[in-house]
Amino acid sequence: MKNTRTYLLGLTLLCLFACVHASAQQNPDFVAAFNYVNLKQADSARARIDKAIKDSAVAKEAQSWYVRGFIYKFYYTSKEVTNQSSPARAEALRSLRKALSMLPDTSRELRSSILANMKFIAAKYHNDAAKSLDTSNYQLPIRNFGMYMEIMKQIEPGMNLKPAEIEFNLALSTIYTSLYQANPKTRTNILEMDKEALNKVLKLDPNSVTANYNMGILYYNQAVYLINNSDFDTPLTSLSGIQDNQVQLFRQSLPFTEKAYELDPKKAETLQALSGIYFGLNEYDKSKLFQEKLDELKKQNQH
Amino acid sequence: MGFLIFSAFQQREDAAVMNAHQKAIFLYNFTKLIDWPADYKSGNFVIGIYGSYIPLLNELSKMASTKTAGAQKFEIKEVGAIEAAAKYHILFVSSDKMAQFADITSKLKGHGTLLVTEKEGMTKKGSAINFVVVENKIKFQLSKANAEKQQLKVSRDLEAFAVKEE
Repeated sequence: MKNTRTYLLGLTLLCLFACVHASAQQNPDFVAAFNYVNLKQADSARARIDKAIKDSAVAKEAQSWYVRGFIYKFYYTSKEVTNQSSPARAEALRSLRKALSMLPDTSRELRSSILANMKFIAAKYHNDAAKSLDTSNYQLPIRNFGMYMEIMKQIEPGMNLKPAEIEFNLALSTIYTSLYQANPKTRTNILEMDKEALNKVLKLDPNSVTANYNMGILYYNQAVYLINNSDFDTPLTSLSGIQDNQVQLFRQSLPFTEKAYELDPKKAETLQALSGIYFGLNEYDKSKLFQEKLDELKKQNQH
Repeated sequence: MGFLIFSAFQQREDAAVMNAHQKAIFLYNFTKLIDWPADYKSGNFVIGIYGSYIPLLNELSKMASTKTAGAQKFEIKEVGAIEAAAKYHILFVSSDKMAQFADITSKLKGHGTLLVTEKEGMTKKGSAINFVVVENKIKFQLSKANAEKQQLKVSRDLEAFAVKEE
């Protein structure tokens, strides 16, 4: 396996060197950078390519920037692959983009190599976002996922990125929900971010059962929290205002939860949620109706 | 590599608890806005629940652990049967016990007990406070006459918050 990788790297280097312009091939730092990649000395390779690119004869060639991008990608995979805000990866992308912008339309082969490298980097941004998205860290994954989307839109403009965007925003909403529920009193801004993430999903796919259901539950939980966290000595004047807000939230919850039910009438959680919403609205007959549907569903599932 | 997605949901019981919590807030307010007879101003402040209403029992027990009615400690009782000699400051009669309501009013007639119900028309049958739903919200009807029959003085503030019976 290791031998195969070494062979492939050697072959890639050979192709890379063959594709560069003669003026670059004559630059000693440029040549040395290649040798260092071959020797797997990422630090030295990076230092020499940076020195070489200062030569205007080297810098004017798209191929040189491609090589620089390749070397930075090599540096990233050798030294910074676990660093989710890797500067080398960002630099590799910058160089590859520069190479792409300088490339004449006729250079199909080189274009395809640049795009393949950019795609590799995009995949790494995506994987990093997926790996690290949790309640203690969501800002960096948002940035990394944004990078993934940006690169993919550039290199494959016709690609349907909706599923990835939906998946990411649903996952993000999950994180926001956990953060909000841990401290609903002080994290109302997180709740708004949660709704924003779900709204993005619903804009992309209005028929998403998960997004409709989760949005309904956000409003539902907000309504329940409002009353349950009111102190027993809340004066009647204040209680009346809280009740007004609570009813409004339950009503806001309804269209989303009803839509989730319409899309998937056999989802037990939705039936339970609808029963809860109507209970909260003090419409006990409707609440009972959904509870009965839920009981019926449970019976069917047992058989 | 994919992202982890799940649905967060609080159980329906939360809505039932929420409903009971509101009623507990109302009941606590009643203790401040109603004046009980002198012989009810010492000892514990007793709130009885007649009928099965676990969420309210739990909420009132929580209230009792942190609040008092003036200088009196709260005592929350789940009532199995109404005794004529029993002393309750407030008796909440749940909707499943409405058939016995006439018997309750007769046994507690003249006691300093605030009778609280939650069924349409109960103030006409002797209840002083009756929870009702108005525009999806829990409100209460008040019968000042029924309260006075139980030697209770209702404040004007409480009257102002009560909804009129149709």
